[in-house]
Amino acid sequence: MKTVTKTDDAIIQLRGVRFGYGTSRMFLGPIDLDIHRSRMLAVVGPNGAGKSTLLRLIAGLVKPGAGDVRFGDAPLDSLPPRERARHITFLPQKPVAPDSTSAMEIVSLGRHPHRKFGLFESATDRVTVERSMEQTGTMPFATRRMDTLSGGEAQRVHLAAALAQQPKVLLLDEPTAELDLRFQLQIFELLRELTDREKLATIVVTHDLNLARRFSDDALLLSAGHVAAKGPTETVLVPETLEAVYGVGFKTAECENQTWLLAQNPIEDASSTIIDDLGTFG
Amino acid sequence: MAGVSKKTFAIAMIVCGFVLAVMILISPGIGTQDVGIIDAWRSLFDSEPNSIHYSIAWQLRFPRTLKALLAGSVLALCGAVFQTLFRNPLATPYTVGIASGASLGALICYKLHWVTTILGISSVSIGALTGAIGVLLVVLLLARSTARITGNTLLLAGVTIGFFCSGMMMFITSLADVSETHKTVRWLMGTLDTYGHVELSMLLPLTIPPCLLLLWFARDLNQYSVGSELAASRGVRVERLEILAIIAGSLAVSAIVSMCGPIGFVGLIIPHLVRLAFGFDHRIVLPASILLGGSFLIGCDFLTALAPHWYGQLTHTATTTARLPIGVMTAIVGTPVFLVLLCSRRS
Repeated sequence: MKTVTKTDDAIIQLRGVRFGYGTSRMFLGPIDLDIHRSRMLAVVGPNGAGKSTLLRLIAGLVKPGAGDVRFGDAPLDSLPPRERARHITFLPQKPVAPDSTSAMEIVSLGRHPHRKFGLFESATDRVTVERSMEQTGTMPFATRRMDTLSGGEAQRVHLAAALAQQPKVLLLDEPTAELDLRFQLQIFELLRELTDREKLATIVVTHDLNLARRFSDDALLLSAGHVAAKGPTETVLVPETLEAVYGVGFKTAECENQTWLLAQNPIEDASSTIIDDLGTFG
Repeated sequence: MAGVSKKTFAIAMIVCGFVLAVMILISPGIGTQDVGIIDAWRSLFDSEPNSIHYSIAWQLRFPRTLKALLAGSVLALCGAVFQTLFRNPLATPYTVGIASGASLGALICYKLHWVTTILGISSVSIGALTGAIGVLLVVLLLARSTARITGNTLLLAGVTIGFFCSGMMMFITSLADVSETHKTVRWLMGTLDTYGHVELSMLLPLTIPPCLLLLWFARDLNQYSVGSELAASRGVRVERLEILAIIAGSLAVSAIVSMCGPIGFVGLIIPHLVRLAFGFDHRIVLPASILLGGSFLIGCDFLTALAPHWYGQLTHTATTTARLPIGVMTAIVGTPVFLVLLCSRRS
């Protein structure tokens, strides 16, 4: 379950970050954001709000058109790609696995940023791979081919590969998309556990507001490239903010000490609104 | 064991290396003339250095073997790399239009009656190399006009330029006489004919460094095969990998095509066979493709000499000393072998 601790310095800072593809106008930003270790941040918002692009900016896969992304004290783009990859790992929405690869082969690929000139994996690589697989419960099917695994099992394997990178920051783009309810819960429980135990700064893009509310510490609500709200999850993921962004009515229901969000009918004449910062986060 | 194990790697290299070694050892004894393996090896240690046996085995056949080894290795290696880069199992070393450019260059040489040798190299080879590198440069320039050079833009540019070159070839062929057309068609079927070691020694600087670079990329290609975005997030410089690998591969293949013509199938099927046998890991796939590609083309070259002989025996007709074109044999042998392996794997 959620922790209440908040670590000291931000591991990643975004200041006035804006982004646009090619010569098009900046469609994302400005975004100011502090990301801390041992915290899970859920990035939510309608389709096309810029959630995945934000994740790519933080991963260093694209450069901001304006503003700074900093890792610790250094600008993120000053880090060589392999060094950056030793700190930040990114799991895209639909990772692929080549034909006939085993689960363990996929996980061992995560060691790439740590490897130097040798042809084979070192003892450290092997220990780390096995540890990552144990953490994600994927050891029982280590030798099975990826195309024989269920969606949830395959996603846990890709998560194990991300952990094998030994990152400080874990970025996941809709890790539960196309998974059934059981696997969705499993993945989020695992992410929560890893965030706490490994002191990771975890950022998850998701469309499931209830999973975000239940497992994440903080939330960032994006609307048409702008920050509509950010702060502690329980202050951001509330009907008032969500209705303005999604154009859908929301109600809450209490069950077993949890607040659940229930989407209602679309609201007539709804327009996206930028809401003021609701909390101390960021 | 995580990743590729030393045992798997050792088994793959020993098996493929053994096959290649056997092919090379028996190669001086297989050809259209009646000089067997024992005669060939005995002639090497004979006191008479320039005997007929020695000339046939070591001055005619062995350079062919080395040429087949080099061509097969380069084509198979580049095929493996291109299939990964283009994420397309049908990609071949010729995907970016190199074969069409080389063929057009060769055809122009024949049409202009520029058939001579310069520093021991055929002018047709020089024309083919010029055509292949010309196409590569045009494709790269076209691809650069987009925001970012990607495998797909290169693929599309290559296929388009390939069609253009094919159209030009048909145009020139329609104006050519029978003799020029025959020479061109024969060149398009591929050839391993060689005269001494000059051609080979000229091929080495154009093929070995690019191949070494491609081997160096093996681990990056492993990452690339799980997605370019994931590869980039793990520290692979994806754009640099795509461009360097395509340029290196295309350059090496251009050199091979210029000397041997567009030999098909090797670059397509050998990487698939290697993957079927040893898995996806490029640390095994690339060197194993080199070894098996060379073996396969040497084996096919044996058959180009033996098939007419067997045909003569079967039909009780006079045995011919002419070889079949190598491109014909790679297709005849490669297709059933590949289909059998594919079906056996599925079952």
